Formats: sequence, C-alpha cells, structure tokens
Amino acid sequence: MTIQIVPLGAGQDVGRSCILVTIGGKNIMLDCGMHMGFNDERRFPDFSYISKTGDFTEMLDCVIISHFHLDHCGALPFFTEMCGYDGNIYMTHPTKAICPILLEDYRKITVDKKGERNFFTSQDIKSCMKKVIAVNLHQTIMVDDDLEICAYYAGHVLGAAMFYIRVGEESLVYTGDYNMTPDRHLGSAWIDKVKPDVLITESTYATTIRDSKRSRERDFLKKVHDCVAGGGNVIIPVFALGRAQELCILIETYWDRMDLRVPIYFSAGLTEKANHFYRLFINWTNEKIKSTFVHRNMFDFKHIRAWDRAYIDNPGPMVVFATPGMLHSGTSLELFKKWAPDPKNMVIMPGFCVAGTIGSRVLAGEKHIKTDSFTTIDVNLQVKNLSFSAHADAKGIMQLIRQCDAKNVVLVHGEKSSMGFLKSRIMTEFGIPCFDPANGTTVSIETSHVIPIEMSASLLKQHLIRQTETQDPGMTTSSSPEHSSSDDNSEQSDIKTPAEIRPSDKVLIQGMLVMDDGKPIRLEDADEVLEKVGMANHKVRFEVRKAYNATALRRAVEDAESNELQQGSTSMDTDKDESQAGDLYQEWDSDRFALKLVHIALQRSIGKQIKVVRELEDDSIEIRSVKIRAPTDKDEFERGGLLVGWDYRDEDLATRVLSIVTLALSANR
Amino acid sequence: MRLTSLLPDGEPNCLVFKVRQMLIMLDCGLGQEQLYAMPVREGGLTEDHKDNSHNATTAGSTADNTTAGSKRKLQETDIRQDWASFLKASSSQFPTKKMARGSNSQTSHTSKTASATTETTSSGPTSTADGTIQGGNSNIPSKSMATREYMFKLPDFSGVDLKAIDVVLISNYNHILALPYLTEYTDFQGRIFATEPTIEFGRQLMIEFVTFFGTSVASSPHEIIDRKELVARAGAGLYPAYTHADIKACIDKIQPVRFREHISLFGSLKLTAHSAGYCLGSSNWLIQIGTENIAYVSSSSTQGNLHPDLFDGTLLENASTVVATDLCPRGSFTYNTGVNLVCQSIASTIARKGNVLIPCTISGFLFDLLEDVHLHLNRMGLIGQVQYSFISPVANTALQYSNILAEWMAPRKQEMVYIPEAPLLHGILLDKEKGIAKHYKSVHGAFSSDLKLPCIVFGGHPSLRSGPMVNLLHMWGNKPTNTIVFIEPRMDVVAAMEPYENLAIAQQAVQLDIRLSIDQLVEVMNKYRHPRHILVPMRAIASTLPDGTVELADVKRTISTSSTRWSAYKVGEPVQLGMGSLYESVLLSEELAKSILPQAFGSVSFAPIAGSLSIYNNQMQLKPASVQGRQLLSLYTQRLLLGVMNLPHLLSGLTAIGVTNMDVSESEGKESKEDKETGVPEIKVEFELHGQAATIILREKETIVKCDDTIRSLLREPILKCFQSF
Repeated sequence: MTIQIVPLGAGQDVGRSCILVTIGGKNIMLDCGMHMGFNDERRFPDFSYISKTGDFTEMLDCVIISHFHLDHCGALPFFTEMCGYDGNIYMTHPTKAICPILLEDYRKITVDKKGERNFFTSQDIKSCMKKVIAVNLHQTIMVDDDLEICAYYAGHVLGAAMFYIRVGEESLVYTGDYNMTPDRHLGSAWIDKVKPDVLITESTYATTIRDSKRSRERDFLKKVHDCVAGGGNVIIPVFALGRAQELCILIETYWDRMDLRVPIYFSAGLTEKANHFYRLFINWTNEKIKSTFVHRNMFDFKHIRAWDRAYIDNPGPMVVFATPGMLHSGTSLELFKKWAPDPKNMVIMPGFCVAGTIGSRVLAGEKHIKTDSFTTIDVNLQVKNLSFSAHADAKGIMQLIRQCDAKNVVLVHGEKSSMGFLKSRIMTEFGIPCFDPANGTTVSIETSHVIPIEMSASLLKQHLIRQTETQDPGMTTSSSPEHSSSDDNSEQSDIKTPAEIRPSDKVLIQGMLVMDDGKPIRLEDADEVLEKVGMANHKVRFEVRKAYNATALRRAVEDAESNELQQGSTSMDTDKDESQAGDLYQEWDSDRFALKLVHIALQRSIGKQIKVVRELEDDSIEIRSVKIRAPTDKDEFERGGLLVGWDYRDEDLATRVLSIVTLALSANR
Repeated sequence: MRLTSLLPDGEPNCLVFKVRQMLIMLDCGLGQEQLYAMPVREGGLTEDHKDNSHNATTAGSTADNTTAGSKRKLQETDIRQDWASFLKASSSQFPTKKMARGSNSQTSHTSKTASATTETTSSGPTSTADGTIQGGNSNIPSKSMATREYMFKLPDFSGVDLKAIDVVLISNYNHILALPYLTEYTDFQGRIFATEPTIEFGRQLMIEFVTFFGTSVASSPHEIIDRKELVARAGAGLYPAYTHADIKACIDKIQPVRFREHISLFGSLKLTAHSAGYCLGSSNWLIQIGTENIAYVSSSSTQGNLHPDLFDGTLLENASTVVATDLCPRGSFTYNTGVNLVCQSIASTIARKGNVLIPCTISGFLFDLLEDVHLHLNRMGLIGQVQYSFISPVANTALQYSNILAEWMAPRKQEMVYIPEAPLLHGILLDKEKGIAKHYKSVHGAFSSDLKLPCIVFGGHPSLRSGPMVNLLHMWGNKPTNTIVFIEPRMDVVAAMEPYENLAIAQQAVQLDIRLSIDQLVEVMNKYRHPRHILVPMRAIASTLPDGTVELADVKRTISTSSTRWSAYKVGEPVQLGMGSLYESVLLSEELAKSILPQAFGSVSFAPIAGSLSIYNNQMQLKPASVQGRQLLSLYTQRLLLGVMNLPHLLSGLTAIGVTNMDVSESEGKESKEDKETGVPEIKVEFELHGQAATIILREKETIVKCDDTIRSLLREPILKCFQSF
C-alpha cells in the first residue's frame, strides 16, 4: 500500500497551505488556505489538480482545517461555494467560531475596499460554515466506515489542532501549525504515540533552535514601554480576533507587573464580542488560565478599555489597538493619519498586510503616503513589524517526531533552504526518510500493510503448550530413558544461556484462515473448522518399504568402530572389544540394528523439536503418525528393508523423516 | 465475566466487573439513603456557629450542643439518634428509618416552638441545629471526635480485592462520591477514567459533600484528627467524610478523557466513552477486551431538548453484553411532563409573594429547568420581581464552568457559541449589571443583605440534612405562602422532610427523571443488533411485573426479546456470564497474507496458514516464520485431504503416470492384518511401476498405499488429484 502526498500550496513555501493526501484509497484535503502575498489566481491553491471537471465532492472524502489563520482556511468558501465542493469539512469548535469572522474581515478588504470581483460573498462564508462539522479534541470521528480522524491540541492559536488520520492500519499525522512550548494563553502541542506512517509537519522555524518568542515579546514590550515613557502614542492595527487577544494578554500582564497607568484602548464594537469568544473557549487555553478563570477570567481585561472617538484628542501617552489591521480604513487609519507625523509615536504592525494597502506601504518604509488625491500622510513615527506566530522551532519539530514515533516525515510550510537543513537532521538523527516536496509534486510512501484478524484463543493456547513442551529439555524425546542419549540432555542444559530463559515472544502458529463475507477473518484450528463446515476428511495412509544394504551398513559400522579404536586411547582393552564384536555378530539382526541407527539419527536431528517414541519390544519408532518398523509378516520380510508408514496429514514430517532415514542407512556415512 | 453490584438499587452506581483477567470498577458512588437517618446540621463546615443566642433546643436539633459545650438532653426520644446502629444494619434495608417515622409525633410539638422562635429572627442567619452528633444516647461507646462526626457506610468493598482493580470508569458526577475513599484510604492502585466535566462536577459535588457533612472544624479547631486512625477505629465499615486534601489527591488521579477518545490499556483493553445525554460529560463506556465488546450504560437520557450532548447509541452497535444501570423507576415524571408543574408551582408562589426553595445540586438538568422557569415567569410577567439565588460552596464554579463546555452540549446549544453567546441562560442571568441571578457560598454574609423578595433559591443538599436549605427552612418554613419544590429524582421526599414535618411551607414534589426507563431501554436496544446479554438492575424488572408488560418477564426474573437474554442483578449477588467463543485480535502481516492460497467452499474460503506469532506489548502480529522456524513448522504441518476417493479417477491418474497391468479386486471385510475393522468393503489395486510392486487399498474413508520408497513420490500425484488438498 502507498500513501501519496501532494502539496497544492505550502510546498517549500509559507502560505496557502493545502495538501492532498491519498491514504488507503481515501482522498483527503488538509487545509485550504490562501496566499496573502498574491492578488491573482495564485492566491488560491490550484484546485484543478484534483479534478479537471470540478467533481470535487466525488474526488475528496473530506477536508480538514487545522486552524483559523487565513493561510490555512482562506480558500475554503471559494472551494465550497465557487468550486462546488459539498462534502465533509472538519475543524475544531473555536476554529469554526472564529474563522468566519476573519474571512469576513478579509473579504471586506479585497472586495469592498479594493473593488475586486470574483471573490466570495458574506453569504458564501455563511453557507460554507454551515457545512462544517466541528470536532472535539481526542474524539475519534468516523468519516466513513474506514476513515477515522482524531484531533490533538496544537497550541498555535486558539483551537489549533493536529489531525491523526487512519484508514485501516495506515495512518498519517498532519500538524498544521503548532507550538511545542506553552505561551501566555495556550498550552503546548501534544500527541499520543500513534506511530503514524507519515508525519506531515510545518517547518516555519526549521533552522531556529532556541525559543525566540520570549525574547521577541520582551523586545516588543520594551519598545512599547519606551515609547509611552517618552510621551508617545502607540497604535497597533489589528484584526478583532486572534493576534489581538494574544497582544492584549501580553500588554495586560506587563502593565499589571510594571504597575503602569498609561491607558490602553481597544477600538471597534467587535472587541467585547471577540473577547467573549475567548471566554467561551477557555477550555482551549492553557491549564493556568483554565484553573483560575472562575475567579478571574484572563479575557476580562482590567487595563484595556473600550475606545471612544473622543479620546483621540486626549493628551499624553496611550496605547490603542485599532481595527482593521492593514490601516486601510476605520479607526486605525484615522489614528494613523493623526499620529504619523510625530516621531515620538509608534506604529506596530503585528501581522501581514496585503500589497497596496497603506499598511504594506508603511511596512515598505514609504515616508509620504498619498491616501487620495488630496491627502498625503507624512510618516515620521517609528514603524515596527512584529510577528508573534507561535510555531515550533527545530527542537520542537524533532520532539514531535519523537513523541508520535513517525516512520516517515514530510516537511511543508517553510522556506526551502531551511527545510533542507532540517531534513538532513531528521534523517541522520532518526534514520527515517524525510521529504520536502514542492507544490504539485507527489511523494509516494510505501507502507507495510497489516490485516486485523481474530485468532481462536484455544488455538493459541494449544500452540503455546506445544512450544513450552518442546523447548523444555526434560520433556524431549524417548519414552525409554536408558536408551536415550543422556549426554544429549546434559549438553542442552549446559548451553542454556540467559537469552533463552526469558519468556518466548514468538510462537509458531499453524491454522486455517476462515474468510466469510461480512465476518471478521478468523484463524482457527484446521480440523475444527472443517468439522464445523462438515467437510469429510479423507485419510490416506502410505506404507513404504525402505530398502537398505545390510552388509554395506554393517561394514560401515565396523569401519567406524575400528576408526574409533585407532583414534581412542591405546590402553583400551582389545579383548573386551572383540567380545563385544562377537556379541554383535551373534545377535546380529540387521533390521533392529538399522532401527537403532535410525533412532539415533532422528533423535539427533529432530528429537529436540518433536517427540520420538521408541517401542522397546520391537524397536519400532513412532513420531506422531509416522511409524518405522521392521517387517513383520513373511511377505514383507522377503522383500527386505524397513517399513515406513504415515498418514498423509504428516506428509511433511514423513518426508523429513524419510530423508533422515535414507541418510542414516546409507553406507557411506 | 462476573458482575457484582456493591450498592443497592436506587442508590448511585458502584459495580465491580471481572472480565478475562481484568477487574473493572464501574462507578464509585456513595449510598445516599443513609443520609436521611442522620441528624440535621445547620450551614456547613465553613460556617461558624456564631449566633447561638437563642436556644438551640429546637426542632431538627439533636440532643446536645457541643459548641456551647453544655449537653442537654431532650425528654423525647430523638428520632435520629439511632443512626449509628441503623448504619450497621444491612444497607439494603432501613428498619430504623421506619421506626424513626413512627416516632415523629413525639417531636412534633418541639418543631412548632422552633418555628415560633425562628420567625422572630427570620431575616438574620439562624443557627438551630448543631453540627455534631449526640453523645448521650449514642450506641457508640467512644465519645471521641470520631463518634461525633457524620459517619458513612461505603459501598460493600469487602468482597473485592481493591488492589487488583485495574480500572475505574466513572460515568457521571452522581456516581463519584466514594472515590476518594477508594483512592486515599485503601491500597487501590488502578487507573481512573472520566470525562473532563465529570471530573469537575464530581469535584464540586465532593466539596459540597465535605462542606455539608465533613468534620466540623469549628467545633474543635485545636484538635488534630488522625484520619487514618479514625478509619481504623471506625469499625463496622463506617467512615467519616473525607477532607479537601483527599479530594484534591483523588481528583488528580483521574485521567480526563473525551467522548469517543480511544484509550488503550495493557495492549488488550480498549475503553471508549460515549455520550449518555444525561448531563454535561455524562458517559456510557464501551469496554473492548480481545474481541469481546461490553457496553456499560449508566444514567442515560434520550430526551432531545436538553442541553447535554445527545445520547450516542453507537456503543451498542457491536456490544455482545450490555450492563444497564441507574434506570428510571416506573411512574416518575419525565422532564416534559414535570417541567410545567414546576414552573406553575414556582409562578404561583412568586405571584403570592412567596419564596421558593429548590434543594438540588447545581448541575445536570437544572440548567434546562432554569431556562424553562425563566421563560415561564417571563410569560407570566413575574420576571421583574424575582431574584434567583444559587447557594452552594461551589455555586460560582458550577455556574461558570458549565458555560464553557459548549463542546459537551447538544448541537442546538453548541451553535450559541458561534454567535457568540453563553450557551446556557444563567450566563446571561448572572450578568452583574442585570443582577437577576446571584450566587453565594452560603446563607451567611452577602446573601441576607442582597436579599430581595420574592426569591427562588437553588442549592443545598437534597437530603435537607445540612447546607443552606436547613437555615432557609427555618427562616421561611413557617409560612404557607412559601414553597419547597423537590426536583431531584434520586431522593426520598418523605424521608427528607421528616424533621420538618410540621412546617407550614407548601411542598411540591415533582421529581424530574430524565433517565432511561426500562421501556426506553428496550426501545433503544431494538435499534441495534441484539447483544447476547443485557443486565439490568433487579428493581427495573421487578417493577415491570405488576403492570401490563408481564410478557417480558418470566419466573426466572429474566425478560427476553428475540435472541437476547435479559438478566437481573442485585446488590451483593454476583452474576456470572459465559463468554462467547474466545478470540484474540491478531494482526496479519502483508507479507504473510500474500503467501496464502485461499480455496473457496461455497461462500466461505479457507486458507491454511503458518507463521510466527510475535507478542509485543500484548499486541500480536502474525508474520512469516524465519528459516529455522519454517523448518520447525514443517515438522508440525498437518495436511488435509477433503473429498471421497474415486476409483475411475484414480485409475486414469495412474495410467497417466505410466502404470499398466492394474489388478483391481474388490473384497468384503478384512484382508490385511493391519485392518482392525471388520466388515469394511475395500478395493485393492495392485500394479507394478518401474519394476516395483505397489498396492493401493481403498476404503470408505481411508486409502492405504503400499509401495517402495523409490516410487512413492510418483504415486502421490494421482492420489492427491482425487481430493481437494490443503
């Protein structure tokens, strides 16, 4: 079986995450993001790759969205409403709640402000969200009979999740964006040891080793503090949700700690509503916030107050979070116009700005920005760009690979150059294959496939007993201890090393697989099964005459004995030897002698594994149904040779025994 | 499989389930019935008995007053003083309770005087009952701290090796109260699983329990109590309430899970919680061991219009055994029928400017009831005058916490957070600016100063033996305009009201029961493939007997539908169940699977298979054997021939390999010496091949081939061709 992975976006790139996966015959789209850096068709992933005719619903079994950032969910309304995908979409509860607000914000900029057409409408967003199925963490969702998905906490933003996907025995983990170190309001990513065949991980900070977020936060707070200490105003253009709350918590806790009295404002009516989202999803934040929320909800800000337009002329320093985030309209633009000329003031751009917006021009370092034909803004204030995205660093990525015990790794959502570095590190450190496919290229990963079956417990028990019996040296071989080579036994116990004393973790099993439609495949005892279905078992018994050359055999034995004699000590009493030889001649019964030889040979070769029974009265040998005996009636006697009989059931054993017998009786041994 | 119930019917669940080698405890509830036999204590642990100015010898109080230090004995027999001896009695029967009821008349007049005194001080906090148990008439000789506390009888752990319990599964907060005893006072060392809301609401219930029934710290602040010693001395299986430290330690040991999260233990045990629809986070458990699926159906509800996530029946799909517990007794109010009564009763009380007392825990369907009540009052135009108060040491936590659990709610409620709005109405009511609803830790402090009449008070312990309801009953109990409404389904209203029998307060018992009834259970079961076994509590079946549906029951106390066997269990009587055919799940490797050659016989295919089974972490995988292993295997290979020997087939086969001059003879009976059977007809085929003589004897179920070794392999082919071989 193979798992195929094709990135439609985010292959050796950051932005418009969209990865197609084929696993166990199921097609799954992981994320459906847009690229914020483009305004043309490159903005969205190339969905025509999936289907030229547009029957996406048929092609895809489900779409999974990892979190609410637009580069992971931005193309979703386009895909569902304009491309016509109508199948299942999965995301977590907070993502489902927050994602439409961000989409709407973005839509307003592109359509209302920049007059773009061929973009999804508000209604599209709404009807798209209706198709979404919200999932809870760790809850196993059966998409259909074979495909199951399960979300794990990813920590990146509120509601961010990693997804474990399983079809039969093949599995895959898609991380989306994640963070392995807990931050101010979120916990760290965590996953069970699910041993996926493939781990698709983001690699934004593939080359960063130390957690740089803390220092960047410190940096940010210091800048804000310095600015307000110098009497300047700080404007932070944000969108109402997501990053805004992160920054609010950051500043709020800093203000608390430093006991600052400088007012902080948050513009737009959305604020209360946005914070309310966070309050309702307290369960998705970290343990600390969760455990204290009853007494003090982290999202009930003490220092942050609602913005009123009248405050704009207030003297003295203040910090204002203003919407929208790209300075293209509203409060943020108004404030910016007012404060831009004063170098004491500061603007902090915490996110990405669409090309052409004032935000992007500010970031580009333009000093005179013409908003329309009449107004030009002189940009004298300090401009800072800060990104607080919480991503896993190289250490975190390695940690996750170890945590889930992946068999293959695919890197996406990162710069090509840094991916190469991480890739080689993963391959050397874990010794597992690692890939970094470009957009549109396919990675195929072979997986070993296992089939779940049910095994009859009695069959297992039966085999376990057999195994322990045959492994126990005391239980082996002959029913006549005086004839069995006792030195064999002592040898066996001598060579028993500690490695053999441990309980066996392997059992040899034989049985019959029963495959019945609609029922699980079962492994049962062959006889029982056939009896149950009423199949007649026909018995076939073979009786074979095994001829041997008695004289040659005797000579060979004598040779061997004389050899031994020569090699043996000189002090050996020859008289005794002769008398023994004489005895041998007198009572020479070639068949009995041959049986004895055969018995020793069998004992040596297979005696350890199987019970070789020797009957004392006629020296005949029995190994299960295989019976080796001397001829009894006249007819048989005339023909000569030993008689070997067996049931066809033991054909394989008999073949083995026959070859040993042949060897034992051959003259040249 | 063996199932033993440790608590009687009607009490919370506590069962021990043994399946294969696993010992699983299903829920760990504490019997509530015993509370009714206990004396009334005012307030709770956190309260000081500060106001003892007026006489404590009032109704509901016990014989002595330890806080005052002076012991006074009432002339009358106190109805509750025999509680200790009562507790020693069998837990399934409560003879003392009946006796207590009989002696009610004696205390009645004191109750009246009590009401008189309380009325004068009705606005302030009243302290009537003392928190401890009488020493004077007690049957327990020791007068140490141990005897002056509330003592509890635990589920009957005596027959269970607690150390051997592998797993404890908690279905909802109602069945968790005895858990700290198990984890902190015994050598239990298994693992505990519960959903997140169950843990949180369970913790709150424990805190309430400790506050209401725990050691009264105030009475002896300087005495350090050695709890272990106390337990040792307790004897007769009576334990004092645990402590806050015990709760914390116990809660920390529970592993939180979510619905449909697969938990795999020891490689062979799989556990999955499924939504039960009863309260937030209420779960039914699917226990999978080997190939056996056992469904544990605890308090469940198929009621669709409540706030918890809907009942998830998928766990019944493949269950072979179903253990159903906590069924709704017959004749109780369903939510839909009862809610109107509750609303009407509240509305009429409010309309006559009366106060409403609703003793209940702040969780479960109360959140739905609150919405309905609010809606009703709104419709009646009474909303402006009314104030809701929630009084419980955990009121604030419970109210706040419940509102962040949208993921655990019904889809209708889940939608609310996308607006965003608090999914449960009390989130809005509690809004500080509106001030319609308020929460208090106890009746002392802010409650009385905030009080705005008329008032609807939720909280307290349903048993009315401790907690804020005791105070409030003394405050308002004497006025017939006030109403006490009982809504909790598991309680005994008559027993609860015993100490307050002569109060004039109007009583309304509308015990809303949203749990599955036996009929609903049958209905639910019919939707899924029938399990082999369904185990239900004895009472559920016994109560079916008197009325119409007797056809479900027979003398053996079992009811059966189609192929399913219904059996009943009872406290202390283990139920043995046979396992089905035993199968272990094994993974077959692709490599080995490719090598098998299946042969079809009708719809079923067979394929002989041999390989090496590796066992790692209890996970079994069948792989191709090593070279050595294969050699070994060949010694054990058993070949099979199916079919009947066919002579023409054989002859033509022999001709094909070059046999000529076949001598076919038929005989009746024994020819050869080896043949021990007599009278078996046989066909003998004699021929020569490559100069070697050979004989094939055909019998009905047997074929004997006699030949020389050299031509054996040649002969094998034509013979085997006659059969289907493996």
